[in-house]
Amino acid sequence: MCTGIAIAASELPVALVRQHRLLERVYARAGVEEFRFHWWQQPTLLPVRWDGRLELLPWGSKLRRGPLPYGGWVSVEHVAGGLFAGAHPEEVVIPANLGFQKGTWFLIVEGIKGVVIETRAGPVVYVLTEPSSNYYRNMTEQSPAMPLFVNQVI
Amino acid sequence: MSSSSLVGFGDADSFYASAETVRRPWLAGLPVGVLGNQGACVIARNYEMKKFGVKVGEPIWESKQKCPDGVYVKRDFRWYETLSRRMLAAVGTFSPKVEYYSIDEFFWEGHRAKGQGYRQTAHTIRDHIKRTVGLPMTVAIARTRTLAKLFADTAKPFGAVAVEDPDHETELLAKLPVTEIAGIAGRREARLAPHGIRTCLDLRNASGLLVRSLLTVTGHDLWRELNGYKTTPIRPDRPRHKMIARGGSLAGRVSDPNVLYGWLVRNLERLIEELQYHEVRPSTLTVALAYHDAEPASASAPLAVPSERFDVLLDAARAGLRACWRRGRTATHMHVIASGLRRGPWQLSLFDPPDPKLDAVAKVKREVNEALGRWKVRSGSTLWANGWYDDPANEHEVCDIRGKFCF
Repeated sequence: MCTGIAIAASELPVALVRQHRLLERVYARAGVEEFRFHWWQQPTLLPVRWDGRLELLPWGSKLRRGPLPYGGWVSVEHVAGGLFAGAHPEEVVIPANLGFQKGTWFLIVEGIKGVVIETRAGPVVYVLTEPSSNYYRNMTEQSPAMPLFVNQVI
Repeated sequence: MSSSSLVGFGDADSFYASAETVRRPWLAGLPVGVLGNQGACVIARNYEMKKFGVKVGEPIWESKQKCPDGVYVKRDFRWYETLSRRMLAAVGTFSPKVEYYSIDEFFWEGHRAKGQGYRQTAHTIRDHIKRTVGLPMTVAIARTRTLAKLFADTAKPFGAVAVEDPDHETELLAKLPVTEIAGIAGRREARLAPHGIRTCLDLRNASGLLVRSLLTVTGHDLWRELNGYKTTPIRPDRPRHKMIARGGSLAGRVSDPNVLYGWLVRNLERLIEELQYHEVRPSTLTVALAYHDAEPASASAPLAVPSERFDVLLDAARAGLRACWRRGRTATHMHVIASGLRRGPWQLSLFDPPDPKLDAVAKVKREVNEALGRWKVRSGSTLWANGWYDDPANEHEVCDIRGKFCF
């Protein structure tokens, strides 16, 4: 899995930063500012390139008994199997410079893949996953699943 | 090389990590660690990460405790080779004789740049590499290779020094522990200590006979270099290989003989590729296995006639694997080594009759792979090591970078 991402501060439009009060999410890594989006943060958000625009969408669901799958990640296999049939699932790119899992920050070249679904409350994004490669498992303390990377093999 | 000329040495600072910053400038200033092919160990880190105490070879689960904001990157030897060759070409504009010593180290015949002294020349070369290749390099110019390498190590990172003055040389050598010399550590260090040899200056001032008795001819050569005598010339061309090996980690612990066989065939196909490139044929093939839970084992098989044919070498390799396989034990590393290398013209032999059919298959395999990419056509046995082929980063290893003297 991937429980957080970081994106360079310069990559998010100022309007988006203001609209979502993202300044609380600014961190300085060795003095270089970046926005971090972690699963544990409230509200739980992810940047998404969707319909040609960069948007911030709610990330998954933290309701164990809600209408949506619990968590922020779904396997690509389940989605292909019809998990979100009827919710107009649409594959999107989650832009990021870095991913975070079990204490490891790893490089993301272009982004990771997500799926946006329509809900009554509006669109929600889930991170698409697949079984971890040996490399990813070792790097992230045996995480069984990893995100789908865009044009990158890990 | 004239005996009076100096030797230049350049060593890229934190090469792999710096190479990543060249193509991703936003990494500049961040602590960066490069992970090995298993994603488990830090094989290189930049100075920002080094400040946190992260060491090369350290497992990631330890390094991320020391440096929680560290950024981990996967190694990419294709890119590192590209930059390495750019550095080689850039250094070549300053000297007619350059030795490609390793992926990030170069020796050259030291000449003063026009209108400059050696110190200025060292600065000029360093700045030229940074400007044209984008990499930080430390440059040292001294009387010999050993001295230049030692002084470069003391000037890192992004240093540029020239040590021509003997007093300056003495002053620097006095500050350096003898273990700073590549090849002197552990037992060799322990042999020197009872004779009061603790610094590089102590070693330089010791009797040559004593050094030879303690450290053999190799140590004596180092002693000569410390005293300003050039023992190894600058070698613009790598001498012919005496042996060629391919192998390495098995991407985990392997006890399944089928998986081991898959790795054997993979390593053999890589080896044959290299034999064909160098136009040599081995007369002996050795298979070596390292185990997690048993002593390492190796077995050699002589070939009836030197050959680079897949079927002939596979028979020998199979026999080698059978001899060093330990049932129920888990292997971690494998090497297939070709030795007794012979160059053409080849004599036909009763033991190695021409096989036009196999030759044609080998030719097609080679041509397809040259046209479409490595391993597009490969032995079906490598399916046992299939996961390895899914990752393009595994197509090109550091040993695939030709022409250099060592890693």
